Amino acid sequence: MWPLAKYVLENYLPRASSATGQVVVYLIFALAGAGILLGFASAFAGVSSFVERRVAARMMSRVGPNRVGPQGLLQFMADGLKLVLKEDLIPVGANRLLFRIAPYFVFAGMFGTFVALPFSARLVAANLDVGILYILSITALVVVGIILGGWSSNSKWSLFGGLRSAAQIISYEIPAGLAVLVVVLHAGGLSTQRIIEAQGGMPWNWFIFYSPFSLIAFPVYFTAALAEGNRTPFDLPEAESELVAGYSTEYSGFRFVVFFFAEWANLWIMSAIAVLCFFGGWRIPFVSVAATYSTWYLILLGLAIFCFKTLTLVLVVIQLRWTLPRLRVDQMMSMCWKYLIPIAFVCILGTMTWIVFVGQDTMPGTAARFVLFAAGAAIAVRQIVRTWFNYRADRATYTKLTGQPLWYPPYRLP
Amino acid sequence: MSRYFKNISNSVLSILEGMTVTLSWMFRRPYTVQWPDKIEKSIEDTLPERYRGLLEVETSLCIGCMACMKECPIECIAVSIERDAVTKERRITQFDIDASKCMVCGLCVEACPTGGLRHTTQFAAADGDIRNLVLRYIEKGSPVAPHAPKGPAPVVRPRGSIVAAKIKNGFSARSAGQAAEKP
Amino acid sequence: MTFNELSERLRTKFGDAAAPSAEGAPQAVTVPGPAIEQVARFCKEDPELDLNALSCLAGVDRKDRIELVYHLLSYRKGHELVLKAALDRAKPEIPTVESVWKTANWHERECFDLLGVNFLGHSDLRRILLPDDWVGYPLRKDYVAPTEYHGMSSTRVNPLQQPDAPADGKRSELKDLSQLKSLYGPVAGEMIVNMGPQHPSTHGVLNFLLVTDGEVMHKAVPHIGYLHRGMEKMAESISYPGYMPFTDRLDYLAAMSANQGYAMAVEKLLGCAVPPRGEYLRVLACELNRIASHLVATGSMAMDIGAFTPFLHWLREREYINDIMEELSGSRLTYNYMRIGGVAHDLPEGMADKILRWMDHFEPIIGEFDRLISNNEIFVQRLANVAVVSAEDAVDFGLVGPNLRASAVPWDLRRNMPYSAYADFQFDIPLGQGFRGTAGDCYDRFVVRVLEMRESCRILRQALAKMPAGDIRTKLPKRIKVPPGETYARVEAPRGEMGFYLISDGQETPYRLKVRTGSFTAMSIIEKLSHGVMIADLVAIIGSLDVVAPEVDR
Repeated sequence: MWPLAKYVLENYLPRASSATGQVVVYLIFALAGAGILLGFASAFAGVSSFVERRVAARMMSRVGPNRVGPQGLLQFMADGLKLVLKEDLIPVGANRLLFRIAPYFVFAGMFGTFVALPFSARLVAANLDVGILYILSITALVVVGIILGGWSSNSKWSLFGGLRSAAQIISYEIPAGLAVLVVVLHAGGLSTQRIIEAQGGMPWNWFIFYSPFSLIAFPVYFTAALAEGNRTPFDLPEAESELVAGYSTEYSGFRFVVFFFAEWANLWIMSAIAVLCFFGGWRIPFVSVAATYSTWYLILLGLAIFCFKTLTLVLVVIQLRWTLPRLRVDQMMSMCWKYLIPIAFVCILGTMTWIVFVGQDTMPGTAARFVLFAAGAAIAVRQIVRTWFNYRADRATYTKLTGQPLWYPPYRLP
Repeated sequence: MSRYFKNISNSVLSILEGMTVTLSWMFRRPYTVQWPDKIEKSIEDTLPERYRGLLEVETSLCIGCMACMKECPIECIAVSIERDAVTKERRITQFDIDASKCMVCGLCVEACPTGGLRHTTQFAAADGDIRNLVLRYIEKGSPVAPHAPKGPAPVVRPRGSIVAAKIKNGFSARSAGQAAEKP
Repeated sequence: MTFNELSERLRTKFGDAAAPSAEGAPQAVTVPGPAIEQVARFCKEDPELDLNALSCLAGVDRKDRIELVYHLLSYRKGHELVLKAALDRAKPEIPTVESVWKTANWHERECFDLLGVNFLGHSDLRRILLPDDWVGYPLRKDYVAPTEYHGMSSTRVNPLQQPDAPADGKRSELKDLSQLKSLYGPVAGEMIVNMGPQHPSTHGVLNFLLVTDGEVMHKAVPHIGYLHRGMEKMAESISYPGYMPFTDRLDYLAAMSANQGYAMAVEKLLGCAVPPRGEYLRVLACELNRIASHLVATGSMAMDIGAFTPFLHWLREREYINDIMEELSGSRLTYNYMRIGGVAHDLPEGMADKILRWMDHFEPIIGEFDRLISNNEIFVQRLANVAVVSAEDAVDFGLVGPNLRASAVPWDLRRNMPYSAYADFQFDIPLGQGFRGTAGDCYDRFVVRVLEMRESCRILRQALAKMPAGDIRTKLPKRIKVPPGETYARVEAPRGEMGFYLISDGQETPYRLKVRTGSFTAMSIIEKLSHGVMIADLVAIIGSLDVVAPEVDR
């Protein structure tokens, strides 16, 4: 926001260029930017909760909520309204101050990352030089909120959930950071815009295909990000059959909305970081960086591309939630410390070796990129072929049994 | 050491395989029937012949044998027979079924010799007060003569229509195409 | 070995203390109370008798005495024996046989709870089904039910005897609930967490008191009885045919098997045979029910582990079975399909074809289920090597059904003691063998159930192909007076052996009906399995043992 504020100050408000005037104008712009991001994050949290319910329902051979509003689109508003109107309980014996502020730590931790996400060429609220480092650090704030929430609820189950979640998030910060370090090594800097600019628009110019080590670093990062967001298969602190919702069990009303919001907004964050690090961010194929920075419609196109890639990954996260069972606590910890971290270290060492001996614009480097892209595409094609096989295996017998055709694509909304 | 890599490869392959299964379900017809509004025929019309729904009594077929009352294991049928003081004929003065207690087991329907007591395909009956769920098939004060086998042919109303009229404010009155008939 | 050989062997060892029953009387060996433990130990440890399982321990109030009936079974030899002991009604006491069969622990607690028999030497004799402060022993013939309990009335106003509701719609006031608080005081001790009767898992109303040290448990103490409805006491006042719908509710997921067990018990006492078509229809119904029950069991196990999707896929398949059952019997869950002497209705038109079409659709879906969840590495790692039950423990604690077979004990009533028409069919008995871990772990119990579904499909196809024509039901009088006698009928329900011990004294209602269910003994082993496991594993254990509350509590 600072360059924008400076631009407006110099060209339109020269008389307010004193020190206090600059601060005031900058504050106004910062608040406006934060407001836009908050609106976006809230809208995304609500809509994605609805989309998840519809997608999950179709995977389970159901329909999902489709009554409130056209095709159920207002469902999340009804849920939010209901939660806000609920009675605001504070359990007897709970530490009142800590109970009240715990959700806001989680919220701050989640929302703070939005300011450094580069939505497109000029569309980043705070173009920090240490962007990725800032993002990874600010998400650690949620741990404070979770521990406070679990402890202050004065309930053994909340305590269990809170401590488990804290252990999980702290442990999985490490492989997430290490996997991102692989990307940083290729990009040569921590700034998020720089990481994106170092990639290209075409798929074989994305960081994920730069070397086999970054191809492995992506699943490492993705798994670690799932664990950070308490998503299945790592939702042990939350949806465990032992009780309700872990650290947020005792929360009701608006405070629960804050926890709820933080979880769904985190979907966007984890996917957005994966996209900007590994999948090329807002880079448009065949268009250079300078061109994107200077033309307004290319900025919007970059925004559309970024959002599209992020939403695709969000759908993958949603699908994983409804496919996989959850890990037990000790299995989760052993996965982090015995599997992800050693693999991440190997990836870093391998990347450093690769950069020195192979490089990226040389003949072997480029060849490797195409080969890895082909491998990635082969995995995707295999998935599609197996999906078709699964569908086809059911088709004939279903029609004989019910007399109706089996084909019912997702865009058909009953 | 090889266990280590085998674990990783097993996990990745089985996860990918599971994802193909769930993705394939996205393209299959969902099983849900959106009741009661988004269906062509009301559910009551599609249920099979033997469906054990709420009980109803076609009093023109009842002979007052009270077999149903004796057969019911939980005593939720109350039938009363009185002799008319003047004509000395049997009259059925009460035929109540406590629908709140009835577990629709069908033993009474099997016992009925004429088929006057029968199951219907009505399954939804809700009321705010449990006393309103007693289905009274003979109104107080208007006793019915039992069906005489050699008498005139009885008027048999369609199955389900009597109880449908009895259910006040139930779902059945609102479902598609179902018109509650007066007995 | 026949009854005569078994009782002869006991008489050789114990002389007059083991008196066989007279000719014509129900076959049992009567043992004086104080000697029961030695006799029981001999029965178990003698290599000829080898009666290694206590199927059922029933207490009967015979008005002048209290009789304890022990039904013993040998899994290796395939023979059974009944021991009886008569106790003084004023002060019923008998030594415990807990040291011989560990499953006697819970059976004796139930006997104490409902009949007031004191088991000398029992490690933990306290009430199990009824609340701890209950007064009286309900199964005694002179028991008068109290009219209220802590301020809650036990009678309901009969709406059939009431006038209509007032037009102003006033509803009755709720009673004062403050008296209920006195029942739930604080629990003292180290970190005790209550995994309460309200449970996100679907196994019914079960309560566990967990004594934990952080994540790892020291033990999990089950508290049952939340769904105790007094089925056995009710049977004493309901006519034989009228009790059939009640058996549906003994285990609503396996209603057909419960129907069949009860019908078999009554038919044995009546000496009435079921026509062949009736037997085939019974097999058909039971196997369909078995598939439906295993669908719920495996699906909810997957759901407890965290995978929600397979459960809904399974419920969808179960809906097809429900539709078939609805056409066949008229109801979707509590079928009341069987009658004493046969079944109630014949197969409707087109049903055989529909079942075959459904099976063509279903069998590939089992393969899809395997790809989705059974082979999923996370799922396997959650279940493999968790709560391993050795074959000896399984038999000793009274596990039956898939739980027993997963511990590699080859015992299935349909194969080893064939009843109904099962002898006509070819099918395999899946045994646990450590598919991905050790034999007898949670994963084995899961896989055995999935394989059993396939076997049930095989039986169904054979039954439909070979269905004989003819009657479905033997004609019996409306009012059945069963001649005096007693019998024990076993069926292989989806949750294991369901035994109906029926005593009749010539009236229209049973004298005593004792139901032995598989989930009751499965619950009893949880406390032993819970040492040193984590709370997340406890959920897996309960799911893998397939415990349903109505079977536990009756």
